[in-house]
Amino acid sequence: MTWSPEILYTPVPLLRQPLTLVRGMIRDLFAARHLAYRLLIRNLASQYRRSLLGYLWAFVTPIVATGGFVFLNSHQVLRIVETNVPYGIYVFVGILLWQTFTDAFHCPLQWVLAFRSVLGRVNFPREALILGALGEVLVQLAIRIILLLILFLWFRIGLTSIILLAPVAIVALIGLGLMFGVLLVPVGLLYGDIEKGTHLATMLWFLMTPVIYPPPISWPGTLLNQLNPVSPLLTTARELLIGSSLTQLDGFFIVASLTVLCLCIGWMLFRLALPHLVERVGS
Amino acid sequence: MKHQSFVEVHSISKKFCRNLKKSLWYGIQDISREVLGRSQHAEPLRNEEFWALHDVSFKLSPGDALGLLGRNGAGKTTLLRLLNGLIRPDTGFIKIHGRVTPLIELGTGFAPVLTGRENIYVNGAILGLPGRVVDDFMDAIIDFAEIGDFIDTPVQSYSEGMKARLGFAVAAHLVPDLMLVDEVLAVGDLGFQRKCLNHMTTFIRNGGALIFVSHNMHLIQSICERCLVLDTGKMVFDGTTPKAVEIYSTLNNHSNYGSDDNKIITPNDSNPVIIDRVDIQPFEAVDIRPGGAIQITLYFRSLEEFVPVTWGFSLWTEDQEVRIATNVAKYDGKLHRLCSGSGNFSCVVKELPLIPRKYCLKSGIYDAMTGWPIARFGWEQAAACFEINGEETEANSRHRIDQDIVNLNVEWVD
Repeated sequence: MTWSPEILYTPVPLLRQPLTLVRGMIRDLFAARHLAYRLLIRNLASQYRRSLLGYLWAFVTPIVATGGFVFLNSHQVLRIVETNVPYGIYVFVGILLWQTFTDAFHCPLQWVLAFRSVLGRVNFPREALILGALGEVLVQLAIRIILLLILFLWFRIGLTSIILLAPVAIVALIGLGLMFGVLLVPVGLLYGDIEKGTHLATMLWFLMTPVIYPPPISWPGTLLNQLNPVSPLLTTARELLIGSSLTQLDGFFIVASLTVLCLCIGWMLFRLALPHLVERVGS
Repeated sequence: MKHQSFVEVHSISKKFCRNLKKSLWYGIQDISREVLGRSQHAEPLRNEEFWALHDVSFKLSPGDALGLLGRNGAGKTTLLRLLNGLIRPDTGFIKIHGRVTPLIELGTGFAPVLTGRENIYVNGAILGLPGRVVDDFMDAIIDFAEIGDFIDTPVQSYSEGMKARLGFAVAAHLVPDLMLVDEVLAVGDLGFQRKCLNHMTTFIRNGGALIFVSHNMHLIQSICERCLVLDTGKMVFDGTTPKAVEIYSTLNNHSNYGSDDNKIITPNDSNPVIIDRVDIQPFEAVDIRPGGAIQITLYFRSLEEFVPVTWGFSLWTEDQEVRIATNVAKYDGKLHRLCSGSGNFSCVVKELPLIPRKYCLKSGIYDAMTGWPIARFGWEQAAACFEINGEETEANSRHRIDQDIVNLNVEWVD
């Protein structure tokens, strides 16, 4: 009989065994792929099998929201500064990107809460929940991109070559949302206030981010814009998609680099916190 | 080459907190310490904390089947969760060479809207079976589950037993090195239980190690040769199963009913008759033997007179799970009087057909006309116990292992 590698459980903090910790993280990330895929299919099928509209729901919110804002703008209820493409397209792209960010923000905690009973019963690679959440974000995004391309064709918006860089900016935006989402998981799993609070937070955040309006050019708007990490990522992604000049590249690179670093830290925190969360939360 | 220990558990302890809000706050504190790389302080215990497990140690080799006995809250599930790596110990260490599969809750991860077939993939993936392996084993899993055409029906329409069958069918196709089984046999029909048992015994015979938690003494004794007994988190015994069952039964009796010394009950208006004790003695012999006779004497105190009354007793196995016999004195018109003050009733049971073991006896005094109990013994307090002595023969050992109760007088025809 061949011996498998030894498993050792001790109370010694994992940070004091950094090599073991990092090896474990990478090993589990790879091992989590198949499980993440299965859980994603399970979740999507469960959500849409019981609904008549099914996957069409992914289209409905951006269309309705865009229609609403275009109506308000055209009737001068909201005074929005001029944009260099039709306002409807401007808003639609903004809302699409914003929703992608909020999906990435909410999904990790939603997934961990949905699978909390499995967490407490089986020792599976926990990274599967984060990967699965990411998969769900990408599926929703793919559906919206299809809708976006249809709209571009309809309104005869010319596609410029810089649109090929748009995925980079979108990935950075998803990364930022995922980073915040993963950082919230430990406290969010313990205290119900977090889950409730995130919805309120994203509502206010929406108002402070240039989603339905172009980036502010006067104080105090510019200060808010500089402090808001979503702003450079969302603005750059939109500019790449609609082919206008890039105005916030500096901010984009700073935030994107910090996102990569903080996402790794968030992942490590997630891994360190989980055994403690499982024992406090029960199954 | 002699195998080293397969599983080594050394001096592990685990504490929990009774109060939810404090528990969540301690969770924040523990996570902060973990994130800063600082050691957790196992002692002293913080406010409202208690030891769910304290200083437990044991070793397992390949092919060992270890039973875990203990009352609810003794720490059995905590120990399984520690072995499964779901939570970390507060002291000591656990070393395991190999893969661990829990059979703790079958069908984990089942989505109610998906069919049985689709859920096989989900549950398999959670337990570590990739999709292509599930594809190879799909027919075998469906055959094993024996749920017929329901395999393509949403799981929300399954009974608990069917979910357990399906979950077990998936788990049975894993090949772990250590299997942890926790009361999964409580759900499911006889056929399912038999299938589970066969699977477990084959697994042990093929060199796997097994830890089995159950409250069913018959199952524990048929699978495990060795048992641990846990009591309020401490390991009180590690040894042979029959001895472990005896210790567990004793703990059960004492904890259910408390120490007899504390219970001094006197007759009062709501309970005018109290049965103080029931004595069981060998009748016209030195000790109680199979086929011998016993005298049962019930001692009571009463505030008032009752007439007519009758009395009786019931005989139970030591674990009080099987009721062997019930006998009540016939009320045949002769007035049976219960006088006020102290008194006793007595009877003789001739030719006990029981095998040498410990037994329990419960008793009661009843109104002869209505059958209502006037006083009872062995229900709210510990039952009276006695032991039938016998020689240490192979036949008697066999009876004990097989959990027999009676010995029949058989005349074999050639």
